[in-house]
Amino acid sequence: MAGRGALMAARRRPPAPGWLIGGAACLLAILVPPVLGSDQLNLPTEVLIFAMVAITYDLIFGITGLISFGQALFMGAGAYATAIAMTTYHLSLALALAAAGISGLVLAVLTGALALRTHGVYFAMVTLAFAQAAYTLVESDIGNLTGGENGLLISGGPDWLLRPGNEAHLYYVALIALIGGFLLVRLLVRSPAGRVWQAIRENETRARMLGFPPYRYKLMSYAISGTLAALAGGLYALFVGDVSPGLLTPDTTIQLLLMVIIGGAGSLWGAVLGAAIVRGLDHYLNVLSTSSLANSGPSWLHDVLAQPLLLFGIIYLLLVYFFPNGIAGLAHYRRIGGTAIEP
Amino acid sequence: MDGETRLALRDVHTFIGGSHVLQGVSFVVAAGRTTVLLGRNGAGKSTTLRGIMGVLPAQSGSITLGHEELRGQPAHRIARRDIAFVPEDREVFVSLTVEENLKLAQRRGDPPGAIEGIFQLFPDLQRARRRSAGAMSGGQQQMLAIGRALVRRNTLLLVDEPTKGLAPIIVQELKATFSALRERGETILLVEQNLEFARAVGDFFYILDEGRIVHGGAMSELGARPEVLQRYLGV
Amino acid sequence: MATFLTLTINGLALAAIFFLVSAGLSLIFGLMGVLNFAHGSFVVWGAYVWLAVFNDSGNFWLALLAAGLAGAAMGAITERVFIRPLYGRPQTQILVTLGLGLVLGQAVVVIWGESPQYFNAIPGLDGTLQHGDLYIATYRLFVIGAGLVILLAVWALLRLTRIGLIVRAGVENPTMTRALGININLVFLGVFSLGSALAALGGAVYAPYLSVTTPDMGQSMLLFAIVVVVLGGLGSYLGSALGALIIGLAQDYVPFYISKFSMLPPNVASSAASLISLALLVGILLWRPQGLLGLRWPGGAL
Repeated sequence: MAGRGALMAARRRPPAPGWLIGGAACLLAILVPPVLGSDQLNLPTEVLIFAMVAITYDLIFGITGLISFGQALFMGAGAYATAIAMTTYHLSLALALAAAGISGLVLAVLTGALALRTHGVYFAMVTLAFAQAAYTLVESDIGNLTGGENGLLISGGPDWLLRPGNEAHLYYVALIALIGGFLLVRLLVRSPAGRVWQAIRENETRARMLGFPPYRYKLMSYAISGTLAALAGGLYALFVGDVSPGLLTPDTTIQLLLMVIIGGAGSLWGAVLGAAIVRGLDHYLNVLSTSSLANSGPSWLHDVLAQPLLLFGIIYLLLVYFFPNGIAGLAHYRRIGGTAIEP
Repeated sequence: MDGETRLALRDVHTFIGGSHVLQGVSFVVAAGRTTVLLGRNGAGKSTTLRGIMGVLPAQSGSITLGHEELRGQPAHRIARRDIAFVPEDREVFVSLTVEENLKLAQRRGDPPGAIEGIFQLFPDLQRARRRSAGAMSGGQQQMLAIGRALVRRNTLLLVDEPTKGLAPIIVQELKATFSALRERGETILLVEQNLEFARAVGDFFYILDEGRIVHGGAMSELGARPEVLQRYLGV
Repeated sequence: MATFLTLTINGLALAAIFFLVSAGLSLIFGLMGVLNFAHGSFVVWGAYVWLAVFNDSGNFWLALLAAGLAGAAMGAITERVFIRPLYGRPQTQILVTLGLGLVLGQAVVVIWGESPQYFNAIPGLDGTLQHGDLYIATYRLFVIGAGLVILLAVWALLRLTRIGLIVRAGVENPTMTRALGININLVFLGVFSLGSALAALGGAVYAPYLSVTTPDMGQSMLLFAIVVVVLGGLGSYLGSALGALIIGLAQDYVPFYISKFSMLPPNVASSAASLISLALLVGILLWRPQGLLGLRWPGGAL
């Protein structure tokens, strides 16, 4: 069983500077609200929440090697669960978020149990189908629960978190959630299970031959990812104040994919960076498109800036082609387990 | 070996995954003769044929047809050097008819009568010409696979274990087919495990063991050293 | 009775459109093992190119031709630039085609804007046939006719020509086809272009069916095409026709009969068809992956 032992023993911790950089980043993050002020916290909070979802996507995609086209399903499920719990059933915030987590877990286990029996493109198709099915169900306002096309407004919820003027509180909650999620996922990735996930990503057959049943481990990874993504989705619902079916479209999944690829699949912190870049660019390109600079230029410039996804798509294509390991790859980050995307 | 050399392999190495399957294979195939490659399962016989055909590329060494280097060329170009391949498991196109399988092997500018010629050689195929190749027996499919290889005039015919899975009576028919091919002057490199068949149709032999050629000579000498047969072929 | 006929005609028309969009996808996947996630954006581009040419020239047929050519061109470029260099890297191919689909889809919005585009009625095809209390839009009959013509034309191409023979052989066994001296890379390019041209034609035909073009036409189309292809059997031409027939008719029959015979409200009934299709997709991939008429597990390693 030399293979198994070697697999376990081969990985080392990253050098101390990782902790320093992380700590510095947290410090900076903590300073954001006092520095920017309450009314400038939209983008930062959004980045934090998306970063959390991106990490969950990196878990199944970058670490375990599952190309899922349906991650939006979990984020949306969590968002809707929270909205319905609070608005329709008047549950407390804690219960509503618990509902989000549970909905994510249940959906992940159910859909994952089926989807993970397929591989590669077929797995992508099945996950896409599940997300689309959710979209269809939600849009049809089934059981009068989901509000159909228009979605649901969130009512209720504690003042200290949601009243205008308290944006910083929501920001800090999101920050804590992100840090907690990041540390949790990192812990899992470094654990024996995490090493199996990476082995599966590199060569599923070999992992099976070393005695690790891939299906079980993939389902575990998928379930954890779904649960955390749903929790983030719940936070997102609170942040935006309403939910709509648009959250469940492939657009959301594509954005997540962009974030993970830009930052570098498999590096976790890359997902955070990717979220910041994607949401940040999206915001500033939009601002730019309505600015006087764009209006004075050629009309196509304005049109292009107003559709940041076009530029993102081009950046994404260039990255997948030439730098499949994203920024993390450029930084020669010595990740646990080598490259996430096939050479 | 006298006579012209049609194909020469020199120090060919092939890796599959991490496995060093061919470890310096060298031998020649004489023109107009049938050369048989013998060896146990896993010795690398199929890999050798596939390497020549370019279907499973060799990493180093030299494979020359006349003066031309074949190693490194894509399969369809090697096929255009008029090298025909009859793979293990036949690999006829089951979704096509017998006639379509043969037509596929033709190229633009070929004389139209070639397919009729194949039907002359294999009357069974003519009877089944419009049937789907998937509906035929193993023996018939083998005939089709060989027939497909003969649609064009070949400089070299590579045949991988044609008797595999066939009933003895069909194997006898196959012997007759190979005699007919010999009479046509075909140059054949044959991989076989059936020693009796090999003796009946072959002019020369080589023995491949764990990726290396360990023995070779005229077919008439094959029985001369039973300890060789015992050691490398287990008979 | 009249209702049933109307539903059937509508369902057949929809089936024709699904067929146009899916046939190419099926052949491409069967031959090359690549699922082009940008296929849906070819559909949208077909619709918009048709729109632009039709609005400009008033010539319906010219616009159709333009759409088909645009599809072929996009397909050829995609195969050459994005697919061929990534041969043997299926994971990257999936990611790249997805990105390409995104870029092409966004390009439509940048060029034509997000709002739905309307256009003039098509001379000669905008009428309604009436028989008793049965009303049939002429255009729908045209769509069915066009679908049949293309179905037969491509079938003839596959069955009766040498190129078709090569494609069929290649779908079954690309390696052996190469070993027969056939340069299958050219065939890949041709099939990709043809398949993409058909998708674009599907979009062009779809636009007047909907009476409008919108940038998100392609998204749901791609998923339907995937369902049709998987149902019919990846790589099977007739399979995609059969699958298209089933799914197209179902889209029309299911909501009507569900809301007629059950207590479900209409909004749920109309989603029922989509949900059933998606369930069918998952079910087939899990328990009968070769679909109805599929040969075998096709294409490259995944």
